Amino acid sequence: METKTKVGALQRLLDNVNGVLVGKEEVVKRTVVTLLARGHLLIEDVPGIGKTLLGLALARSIDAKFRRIQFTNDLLPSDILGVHLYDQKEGRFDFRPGPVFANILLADEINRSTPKTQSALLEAMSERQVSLEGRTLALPDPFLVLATENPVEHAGTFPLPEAQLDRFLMRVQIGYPSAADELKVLRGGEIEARLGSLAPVLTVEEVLELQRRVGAVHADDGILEYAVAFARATREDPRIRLGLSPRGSQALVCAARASALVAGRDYVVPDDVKAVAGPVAAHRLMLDGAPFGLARVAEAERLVESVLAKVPAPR
Amino acid sequence: MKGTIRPTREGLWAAALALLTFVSALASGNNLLYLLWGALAGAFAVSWGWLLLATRGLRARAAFPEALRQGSRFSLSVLAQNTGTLAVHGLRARRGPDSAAFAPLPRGGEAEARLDAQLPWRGLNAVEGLRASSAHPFGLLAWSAAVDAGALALPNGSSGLTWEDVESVCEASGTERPRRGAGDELYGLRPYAEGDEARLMNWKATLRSGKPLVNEFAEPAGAKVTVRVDEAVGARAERQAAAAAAALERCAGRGVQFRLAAPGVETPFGSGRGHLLLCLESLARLGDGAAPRPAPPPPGRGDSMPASHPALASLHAAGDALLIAGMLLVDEFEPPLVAAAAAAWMLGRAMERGRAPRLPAALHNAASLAVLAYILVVDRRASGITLANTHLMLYMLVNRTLWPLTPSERRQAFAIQLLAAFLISGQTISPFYFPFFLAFGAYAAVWGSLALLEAGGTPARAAAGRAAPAAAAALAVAAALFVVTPRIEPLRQANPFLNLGLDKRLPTRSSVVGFTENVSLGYFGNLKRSSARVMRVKPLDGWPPAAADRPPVPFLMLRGAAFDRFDGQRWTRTPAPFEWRKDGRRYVAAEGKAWAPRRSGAIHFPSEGAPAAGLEVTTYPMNSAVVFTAAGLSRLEAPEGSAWFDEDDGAHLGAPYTMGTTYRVWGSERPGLGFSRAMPGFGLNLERRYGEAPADARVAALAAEWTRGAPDAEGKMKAVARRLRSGYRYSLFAVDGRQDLAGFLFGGKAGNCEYFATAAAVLLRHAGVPTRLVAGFLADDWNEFGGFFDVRQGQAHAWVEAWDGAQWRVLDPTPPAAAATSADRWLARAQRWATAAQLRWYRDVIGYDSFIQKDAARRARLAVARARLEDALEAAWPLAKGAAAAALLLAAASWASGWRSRRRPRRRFEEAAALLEAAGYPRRPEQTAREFAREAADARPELAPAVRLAELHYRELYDPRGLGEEDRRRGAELLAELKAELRRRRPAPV
Repeated sequence: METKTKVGALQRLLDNVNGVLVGKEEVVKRTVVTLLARGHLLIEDVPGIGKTLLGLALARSIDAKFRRIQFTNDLLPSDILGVHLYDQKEGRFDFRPGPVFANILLADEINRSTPKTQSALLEAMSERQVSLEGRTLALPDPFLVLATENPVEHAGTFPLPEAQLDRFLMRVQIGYPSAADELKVLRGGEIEARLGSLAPVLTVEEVLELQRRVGAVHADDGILEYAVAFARATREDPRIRLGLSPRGSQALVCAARASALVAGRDYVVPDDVKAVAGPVAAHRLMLDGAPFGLARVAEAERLVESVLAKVPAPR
Repeated sequence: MKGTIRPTREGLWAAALALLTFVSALASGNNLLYLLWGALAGAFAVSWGWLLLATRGLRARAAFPEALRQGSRFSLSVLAQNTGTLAVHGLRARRGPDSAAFAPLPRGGEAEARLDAQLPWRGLNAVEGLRASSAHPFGLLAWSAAVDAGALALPNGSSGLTWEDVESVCEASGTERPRRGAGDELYGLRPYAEGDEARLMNWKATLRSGKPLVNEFAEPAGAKVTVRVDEAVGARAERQAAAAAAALERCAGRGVQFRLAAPGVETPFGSGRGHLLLCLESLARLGDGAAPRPAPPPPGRGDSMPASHPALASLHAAGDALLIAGMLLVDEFEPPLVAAAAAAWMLGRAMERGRAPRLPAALHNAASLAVLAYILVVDRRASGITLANTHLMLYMLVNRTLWPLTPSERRQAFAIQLLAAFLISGQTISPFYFPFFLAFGAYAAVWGSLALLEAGGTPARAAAGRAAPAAAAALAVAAALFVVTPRIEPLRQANPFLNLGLDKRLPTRSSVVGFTENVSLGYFGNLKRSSARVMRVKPLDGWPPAAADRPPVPFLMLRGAAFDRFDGQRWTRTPAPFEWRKDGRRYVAAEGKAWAPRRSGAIHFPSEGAPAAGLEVTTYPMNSAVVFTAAGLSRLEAPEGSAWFDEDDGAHLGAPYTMGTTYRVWGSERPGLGFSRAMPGFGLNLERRYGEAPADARVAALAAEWTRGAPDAEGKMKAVARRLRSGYRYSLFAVDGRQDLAGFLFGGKAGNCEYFATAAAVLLRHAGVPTRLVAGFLADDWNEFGGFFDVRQGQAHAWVEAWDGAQWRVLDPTPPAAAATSADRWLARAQRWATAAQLRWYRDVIGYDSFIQKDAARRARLAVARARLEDALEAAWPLAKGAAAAALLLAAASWASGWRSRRRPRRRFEEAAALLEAAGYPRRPEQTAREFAREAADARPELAPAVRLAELHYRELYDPRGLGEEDRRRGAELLAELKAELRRRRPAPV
């Protein structure tokens, strides 16, 4: 009964965000899946298609704290994590927390900053805590990073190495809305007004509860074997230089669990695995001689599709 | 690609020869003809299977060049692709007499062949008679499939047209005015601008003016020509079309704007080559050109094989040489003829290489006529038909080597070679036939493979390599056919080929060896000089186990016949009528022959005691019917249906085994009792029949002296044997030529076994012991390779059987001859190996007959039955154990509560998926249940229950709670709905 309610709330969450980000149901669903799976999302797309909107809408809907960092090449780790400032009145160092202390963090154009700054964030992402001058500070829970990369511009960027990409549960592309949806957006009036009218549908505690429930979603042995078969197939494919790592297949199953929960089930079916295979696996594969930019993303997704078509589904 | 398999011309030849071989083999029983038949039939079977397999994945299509003109010659390209599992060789594209070879097509390979072609019609042409064909391997059968080809021919405006013709179709409009362009006319000069080509510079003007100037050319513009065709059908239309084509081309060449106006077609004005092609295509499709018209292949029939590979001449000569040498295998063939043929062959080779002048045609023809006339008129009568035919074949082989051959003559020559091989096969039994057979088979396979190829297309070695697997397969089929082709004896007895000399071959008279029943003093001396083989004796059951290279017993005394009467010089047998009953059966002998009864496949003799150790005796052809035994005789299995015995306990087959035979004999437990012991009056008869000796006082005195003091028959036997062994010496020949018994006993005191045995028999008779002389063989030459005793004529032996009052006892008084000097051990081994191989040849190939076939079939059936029984017994025990355990488990399981509810029924969705697949919605392996069901439902919305079933299926499989009763019911309903929907309407999925 409890599950039903929570799942109903999940549907309301999806509806809420979809009401603002028009026509991107799949992206919204994947974002929620990432949130539930305690992962982070990499959005690879051109500017102006609603990345910030997505983060804001999600944050409002779960009544969570949203921060945004615009990455530039002069951004320092302390700009993200926070600094110790000397309080002359008190005569001690006070910690001023950085923007990373938020529930939902939008790291805009993450590839624009130096690797040092990038890795500071990535470390925080994977460990869910920040260590500064001997003090360890836990990050709020839930903690979801929505990092964006502009695949088109390359001048003055530091592309994330594959090892770092592995830390993102999924990579998605928002893509341009369809003509009808775009029209709907234009007709819908001010974005701010719409955002302002968003009411929270889930509390932070409920989100945490749902995150815990993801671990309890039942994945049959047949499903796990299917995931492993897929991972092995990516490793054996001659077009792929480096296939899906065991961490990747772990992420795949985790995402499939969350996806099942979003679909209102507490057990995984093969279609869940298939649905998340693309966004989970595509950015983790190292390709041979792939093109750059958006084409590279598309090529990787295509490859995942073709590998999936080669792996027999459980009957 | 669907093709047909038909015999080539060579194939028809070979098929006729195979049929002839088969019929003559059936009729004559000649096993080498069976072997040849097997090889020919095997080659056909392998060809057929090979072609069927190799061409299964073959695709061929025709490709035409762009913009073909009516009537012009072009190169038609045929593209072949092999998607099958075997490589395709010898593939050719054919059309009428033209043909072109493809390169070998490996698996997944592609190749191209080009043929000359011409499209006779304007418009669409259906190119007829284009076929792809292959005759690999052997070239006996050819696979051939039609290749569809059709192309559009543009009208040809280049020939047979007058200026008026062309003018008549043109209508000019517009005005022609020059403007700058790409024409030929000079338009003017202009200053040089950057980027102008150097070749456009007008150097003269440049020099004159001092400024760089370039030429500009004019292009006629503004003129418009309408090419008008009034008629679309008929001869006038064709002429108009040609004129229009010429006009269009001229217009295009001059750069004016033009269009085509014809019944039903009107193109817009345009210019350039693209527009020209558009107009020409419209023109081509006008009227009759719209429907394909047949373009027949050029007249003439294609050669089935080119037969012009450069290596073919040498190969052919090698084949001739092989056959000429093979003639030596023919029994009656005269070796000098072969030598002469070999000389002629060498001369032919020299001529071919240009080292000797060619024979004048007149001389060649005259010589041919003379030889033919001689063979047909003289030789045919003198040597018989078959031998004369062989002479004829030899002459034809030689004749062909002395004359340059065209490809088609070469094929005839190959047919002659096949016929010669047939004649050789019919007239020999030599073991050397086998290598000849293999060599000829390999030769024929390579010949067929080489003859398939375009001249010089492929190295000969590669062609031979490709033929090798097929040839090996054909050989295997040949062996199988040799074994299983039934040998029908009655047919053989009505052999219509007998007059032609084709018969189951017997060895020539000179090589017939034998067992002599002429036991006359001095005769054995001649026999023992012969090393001719008589028989092979293989111990069967009941013998001590044989070691690897040691026989089970050191020697065997093979008893042949016994003799009762000695007239001083020779031993004979006295036939006497007898009649007696034994074990309720009556045995009657009219002239000393009593027929033994045949029961359940074996002949039984009235011996005493149970059957004992068995022997398998394989005899060479002999003019004898004697059954050789080692220790008594109780049972006989022989191809001959009958056997008789005499009162001397000898057995004979119903007919002499002049062709050699194989039989199995079993001895008896008490061989000394013989058969005739139970005869009424045996005791009386004993004295009369085995007691008489020629009266000779000196011999009688000697007998009395030697046996003095011996208490009984046994003592007398031992005494006589001891005296003979110690006082006399073995010599193969009598010391003074033909000596008699007295000469041996009192004179030379040396002789062979015949003398010793006769002396012992006569002396014992004088001493009152009944004796009889036995002739047979002493087999002590063990062949470890074949596991048999090799018996030769020289091992003929004579010994004595003496009656000791209770039984016949064997007495061999002959002292051993001086041990033969041991020859080189390896040489002896090699000889024994060759002997074993020779035996195998004579026994398993030449002597293969219906008896062995039936016997093998019976043994195979028995072995299968036994194996089945054993398997059944073996399988039964664990099965019984398993069944008991399963029954226990089942009982326990059914007893346990809730068993029924936990039972897993067949999943509804699996059933539904099977139904959908059967209805034409195949499930791809990568599809999940949901995807599959949705795809079917998308194709046919009524199948939506499948989608709901898939969801239930997911719950059943992946939800740990499983399905409830309600869900199961729902599943059953959904399945029923789906079934009903599928039954209602079965449209094929699109």
